[in-house]
Amino acid sequence: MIMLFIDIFVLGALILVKLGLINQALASFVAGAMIYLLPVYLAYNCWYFAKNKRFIYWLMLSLISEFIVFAIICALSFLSVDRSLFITDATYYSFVLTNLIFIVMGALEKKQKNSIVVNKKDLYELLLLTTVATGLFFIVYRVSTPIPGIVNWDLLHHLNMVRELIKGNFSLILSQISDTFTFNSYTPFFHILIVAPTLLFKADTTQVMWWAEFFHYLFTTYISYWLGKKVLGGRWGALMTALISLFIFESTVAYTNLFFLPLTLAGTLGALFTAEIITSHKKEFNFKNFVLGFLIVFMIHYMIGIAYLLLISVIYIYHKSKSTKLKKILLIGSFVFLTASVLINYFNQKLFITDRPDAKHFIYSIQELLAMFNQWYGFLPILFIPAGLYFIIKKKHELGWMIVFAVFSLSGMAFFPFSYGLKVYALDRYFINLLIVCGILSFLHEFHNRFLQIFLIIVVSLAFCSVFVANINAHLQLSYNGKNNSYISKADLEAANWLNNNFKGKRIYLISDPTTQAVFEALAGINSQGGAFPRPDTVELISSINSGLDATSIRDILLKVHDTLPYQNGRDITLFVLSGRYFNWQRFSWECKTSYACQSWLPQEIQSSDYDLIQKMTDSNYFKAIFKNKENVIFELK
Amino acid sequence: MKDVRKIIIFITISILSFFQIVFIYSQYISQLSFFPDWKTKIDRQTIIISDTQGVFLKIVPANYQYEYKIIRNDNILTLSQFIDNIADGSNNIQQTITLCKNCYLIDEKMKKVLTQKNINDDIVLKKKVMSKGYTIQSTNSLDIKVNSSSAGIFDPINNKKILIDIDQPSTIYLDEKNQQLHIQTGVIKNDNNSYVINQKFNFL
Repeated sequence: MIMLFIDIFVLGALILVKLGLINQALASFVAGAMIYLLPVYLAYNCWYFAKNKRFIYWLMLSLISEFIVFAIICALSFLSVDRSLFITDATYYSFVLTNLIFIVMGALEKKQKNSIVVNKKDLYELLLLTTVATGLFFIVYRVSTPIPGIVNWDLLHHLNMVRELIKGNFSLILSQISDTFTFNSYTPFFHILIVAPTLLFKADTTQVMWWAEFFHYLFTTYISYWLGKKVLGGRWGALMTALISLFIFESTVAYTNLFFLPLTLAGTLGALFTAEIITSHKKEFNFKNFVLGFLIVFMIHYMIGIAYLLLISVIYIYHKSKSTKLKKILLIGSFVFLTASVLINYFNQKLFITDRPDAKHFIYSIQELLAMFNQWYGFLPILFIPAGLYFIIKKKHELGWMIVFAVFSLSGMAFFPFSYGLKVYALDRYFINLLIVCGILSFLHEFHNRFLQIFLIIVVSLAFCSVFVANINAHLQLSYNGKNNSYISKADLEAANWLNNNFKGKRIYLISDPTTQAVFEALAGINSQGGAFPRPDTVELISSINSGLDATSIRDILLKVHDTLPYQNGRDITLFVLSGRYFNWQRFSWECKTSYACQSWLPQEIQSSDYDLIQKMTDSNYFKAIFKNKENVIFELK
Repeated sequence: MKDVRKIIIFITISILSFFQIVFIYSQYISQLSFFPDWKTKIDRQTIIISDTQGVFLKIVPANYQYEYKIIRNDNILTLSQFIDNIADGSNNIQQTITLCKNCYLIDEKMKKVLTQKNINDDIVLKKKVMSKGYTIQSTNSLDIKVNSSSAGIFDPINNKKILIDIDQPSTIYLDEKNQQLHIQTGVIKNDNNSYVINQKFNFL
């Protein structure tokens, strides 16, 4: 029944798009859902026939299908001559080929078709969770962020990457596709997940990303439900784990459940595979799954992949030996590691992994981490985490020690004061949530009266829900632009659409402050030097422009700005954008201008005092004002 | 005995959850009541006033087409916006805001604003301040280094610090002889780094 629904949904939507019967807004919603459903659909053709009915195999197959799509696109990228057409063709071919491969594989595996058995109670609980998640997402989180608003500026860089891929600029190394990515933290695997449905359903990329975050929120909830069911067992364990996942939003660096990023997807899949490994029986625990899981997580995000590898390698070794002594050594070792990380952090020792200013900024002290933890969770974990530890020790829960080991070792990595270390929390959070639920269950087990159990669950859920509402409210303050919560405004979209319509097919090179560059790269797919991360020499050049200079000098300065990637330097038109963001940025100190953490992200109107420069440029022979609104004035270099 | 344990557990969880809801609710309400100020669009021409906790008390949208005067009268500091009355050449006060009582300047050269709260404790405030272009100088000190175009004023009796954010490089000095405070704004000359006075604020 479920698969019939997915069949109808996928194929029906494809036919309707082909016939031009659904508009772009609806196509974007469908494409957002398809980021998750498309791999599932592909895998279904194989799983449907496969021997093993376990859900995890299906999910694994889904990822393998995406892996095959990705591999085919990689292979075709070397053969393709016409780069602009390559990605569209490659996506269609890979989609069809993957389907065929799976159908053949599935047919060879076994002739008998499997049927999906869904427990009715599970279904009701999943429906309940879907309703709660939908309510929280639209009423609390996105209530003042209309489509395609963005409350997460990281998304701008990923939108840029998706647009570059759609243009046919493909490489396994991101910094070779766009100089916005100065640090290679992942392959474009994540972006291909978005490119495929966007092209198949002819959707708008920005809108697809808006919807992708909703489906990601649902996905993390379902995965948490499954984790709770597999690891803790029982109904309350699964339901509480899913509810805690819904209510806990890590509003700094990790952003696991509400932001759709390579980091958050890798963390979620890493937790899923880890849970599968620790709950599988010895005979089912094979090296193939181990390697495949690692490859997928690693390709989506290198740092999470390494953290995941370290974690499961240790668990794998334990699985092979089943030694009690080893178990004790691992637990004590992970606890010592956590303590050492906390102490090193406390004594203000720092390890920078790159020279980028944001790499220095994104190292948090223990005090800051505790403040964040309090903002994300409230104070109830002070009760539930020790209770969870006691519960695990007292019950001698076989899987419990692995949760504790995962929490200690991953928290050790997250708290260790190195650049971006807190990103590991995207994986860690799932095990911390499990530990909190263990604590809640330890109290629930004291009661046999169902009414009292339900009452306590409601009270605790409300307490966590209140934290969620306040946390989201505080987080949204950052992106409030005076009208709604978004880092992009109507004026930005208007300018981007105008550029798209008037310069279609032309190579445009845009110069402005880092945030304006990032916004136009993301919304219009226009190239700039570094987007939000220009080189210091570019910053110096742009920074030197002021109203005291004559138009000739400004033009000379702009012509000195060059892309890091030679093939991106070819241009038909050079644009210079003077925006509200630009003028705000020009007033920053030099440290701020070169720091990613300190940028002028919010859209703003150009102030009357800033029109001197605009007027001077408009009057000159070197610039032509081609577009104007309250927030952006776009000049073309003559 | 087991029942007593159950009762204790039940009451503890219920009370703690209730406290968390009340505590968070009070935080949420303060966020909401804080919102009108936060939701004011802030830019470099905005005057931002904060208290010792690093919480901004007032955000005053400034319009530099008009003249501002910060007036000190019996240790009460007020900010007035004047509009030239073209007809008779006199000044009309358009807006007057009391900044603080018993104010004085804290640091005329470094232009630092001190807060008693470690700004790193408040992640949202930290991000907000950084997104406005301020640099947070040290990890755990009480100093917030504001950029070169910001001025700080301190009220010792109410123990309040005020940040006046102006969009141009400025010099702030205390004229002890005349008991006057001055802020001079201007543009920096590139050759000898000297100031050209563009606008002058008087603390009368």
